[in-house]
Amino acid sequence: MRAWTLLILIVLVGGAVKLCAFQVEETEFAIVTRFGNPHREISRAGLGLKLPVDAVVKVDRRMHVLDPPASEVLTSDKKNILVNCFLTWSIEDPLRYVMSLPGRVAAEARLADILKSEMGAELASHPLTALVSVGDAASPTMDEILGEVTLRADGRARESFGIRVSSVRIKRLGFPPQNKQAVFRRMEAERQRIARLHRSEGEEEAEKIRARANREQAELINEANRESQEIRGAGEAEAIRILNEAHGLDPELYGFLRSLEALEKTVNDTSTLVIPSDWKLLDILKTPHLEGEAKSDKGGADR
Amino acid sequence: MNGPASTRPPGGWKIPGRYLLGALLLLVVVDLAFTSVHVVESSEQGLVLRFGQHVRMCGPGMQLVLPWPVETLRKCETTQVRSMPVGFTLIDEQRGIPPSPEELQWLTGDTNIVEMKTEIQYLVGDPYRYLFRVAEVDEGDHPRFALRKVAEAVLTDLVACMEVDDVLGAGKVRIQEAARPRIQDLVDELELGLQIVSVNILDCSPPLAVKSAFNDVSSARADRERLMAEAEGFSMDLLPRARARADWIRSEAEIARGEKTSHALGRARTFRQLVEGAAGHREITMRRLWLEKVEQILSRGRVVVYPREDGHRFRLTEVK
Repeated sequence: MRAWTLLILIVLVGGAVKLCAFQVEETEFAIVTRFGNPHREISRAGLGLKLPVDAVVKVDRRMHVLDPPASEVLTSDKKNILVNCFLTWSIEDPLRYVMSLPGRVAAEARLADILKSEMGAELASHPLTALVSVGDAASPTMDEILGEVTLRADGRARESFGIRVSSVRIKRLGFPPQNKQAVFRRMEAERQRIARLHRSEGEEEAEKIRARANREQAELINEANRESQEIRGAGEAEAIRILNEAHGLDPELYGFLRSLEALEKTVNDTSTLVIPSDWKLLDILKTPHLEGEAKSDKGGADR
Repeated sequence: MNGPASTRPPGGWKIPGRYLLGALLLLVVVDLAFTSVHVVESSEQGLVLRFGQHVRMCGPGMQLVLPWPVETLRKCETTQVRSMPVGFTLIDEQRGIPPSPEELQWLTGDTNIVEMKTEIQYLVGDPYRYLFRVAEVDEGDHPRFALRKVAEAVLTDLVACMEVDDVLGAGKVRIQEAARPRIQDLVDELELGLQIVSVNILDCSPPLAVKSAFNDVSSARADRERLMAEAEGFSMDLLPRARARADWIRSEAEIARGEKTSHALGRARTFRQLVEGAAGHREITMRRLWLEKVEQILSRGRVVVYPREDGHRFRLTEVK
């Protein structure tokens, strides 16, 4: 009998606890409603108490990531780009959220609309180069644009649905399929240009190297020729000096010898020598003349 | 409580009452055994929740908590480094499906398109945030997948500031280096509770449609090197020859100088000897030399003797 009483007691207490207490997880907000009217909201995890007539609505308080499909955006310089962005959101005001939206799917649909319109509007006032440009590290304009979009999306979501938009980020940039072929063609043309540039630069460099080699070669030869002239000149000078030194011993004798040499050189086998008959050397043919005086006529030979 | 119940006379109640009590006790013991004693592995951390509220963390080892429904323990793996593919998915890769262009293609600063596969290595740094701050309802919401999106955002931003040649070439290292802290910053900002270990670019190449054009640039670069090498070869061939030639010219000049000077020396010596030899007999030597020469000359050519009166000069015309 006692055991049964105990069992009944446990069941009764259990039922009362079930009706009057509830557990709030770390990941939730709880809204206690009385006869359908929101009565109070609990944002702290743990055990909560309520009247048996109250109902509890749980709302997810965690951050969600919304990643809608990419949308085409026209930039201020009329470039059509495909922007794939995501936003992170969480419920800030659970009451307003519960009142204004039937559930998470609807919330995401609204947020996607907000994101698309805000992003489209913001990007339409910027050129493509604000997003994509070759420059240093992170482009500040991209952050500015995203900050602006975040701010406005947050404002709208907060006011209408009690949702906080914590950040908006561009996940991926691209070109729409119909423009992609044009981009590929442009890339190809650019590559061809670079390839041609490399090749002609190669030729240019090669020609430069050849020309330099040619010039160096000419310089080497010229230098050698110049040195050669100097060496030869030095040789000449040395020879002259040596001869002068020697000939200086007896200039007259040298003159005499040199004249004889010159004379010898001028007369060859085909020359005809015309000699006046009164040349002293011939006198020896005429008369035996022992004390012949050829000395005074030594230069008398003529051609 | 047990004693009085069993001693009561109405036998029909006795046995079920005892069983009931035993069952209740058993329930309590089982509850205690299964819900208050936990083993936390060395690679894990435990989070104790009291009525759903996070009250304390606990490290590895045997941990005691109050029995259900008061306290529960959640375990979270924190030391294992995990990998998140960006630009492709592991499932596709296992099945051999190539990633879609949308996954794979990135826009560079000079509005070119590159295909890049990246892998993010990370571990759970803050189990509380990891488990409770971010929804994990479906793929897109789980912190891991939020990480993928964050990583994509950072990489998009980085690649959008670089030239295509840079991205495909030396810039890869810079992307990896710059991406890690920036992804970490964003992860912290969004409270994903993750810690980024490294960002690795696995593959980076131009899209298939323009690959041949890119390859042609590489071969053009090779052509350029080849042309230059050929020209270098030409100059390598030319210059030693020229140097040899120059040496030749110089040595010929040296030879000529040697000849000149030795010739001069020879002549000078002859002359000196002559002077020495003639010393004291100068007149006779000169006469002898003259006569020898005249003899040589006269014996060589034809000789015409021309009679001449005194005072008349010889005229060449008359000979003809």
